[in-house]
Amino acid sequence: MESKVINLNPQIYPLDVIYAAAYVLLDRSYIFIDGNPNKVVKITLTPKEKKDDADNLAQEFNNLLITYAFYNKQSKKNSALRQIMMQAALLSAEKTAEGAEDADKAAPKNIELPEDIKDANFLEDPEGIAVPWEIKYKKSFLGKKLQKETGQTKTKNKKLRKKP
Amino acid sequence: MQNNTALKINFNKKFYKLPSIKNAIRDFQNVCKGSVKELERYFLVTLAPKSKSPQDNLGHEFSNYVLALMKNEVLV
Repeated sequence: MESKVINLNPQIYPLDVIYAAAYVLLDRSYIFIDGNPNKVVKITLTPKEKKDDADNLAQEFNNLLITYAFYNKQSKKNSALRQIMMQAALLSAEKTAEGAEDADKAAPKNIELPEDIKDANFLEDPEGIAVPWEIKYKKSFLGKKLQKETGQTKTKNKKLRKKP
Repeated sequence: MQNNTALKINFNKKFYKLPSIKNAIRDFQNVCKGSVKELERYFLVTLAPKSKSPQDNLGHEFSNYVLALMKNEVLV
């Protein structure tokens, strides 16, 4: 397999940027780093598969270097702003947490029920108000069952009804 | 880089970290027996494959794996 050696200036491309670019190409090529981090960094690229050309990979690597160098620069530039935004978000979260704690404190903890409700048994229904589920939804349940048996849908029924 | 049976790879100390190399040796223990020796500028890694079949890419795969581990350690 053909290898390609790229010499990089570490003052232009910091080590973090080189690592990031190398990491992207790890699945397609074998990468070995050597050299002097203060003078020249030597990257050896060897394609894993024959279809990949070492020159093309090197060019791709160079592009990735520029991408990550730009990202690195922007990230450093925006670091102060990012820090402020994070602090603001954390402070607001802290305030909402404090607010929730105050609300908990304000809410009565032990609510005393009236004497007649205390010993009430909700399963009993002396007035006959409660309606069992089966009876309440009996019509719709039977309707669906009928539809299933006859194979007719609601829309079809409506059309049939509209016709004189 | 390559001997008859054992592979020798020099990892530059400025670019590769010893814990990552050690972790990689541990992870490759099913494939090869590895050892690391600290030199002045390099970590000399010796890999002895366990199977007799030729493993051309073992060194390459190992160095790639070390790089990947280093990147993951930065992320964690």
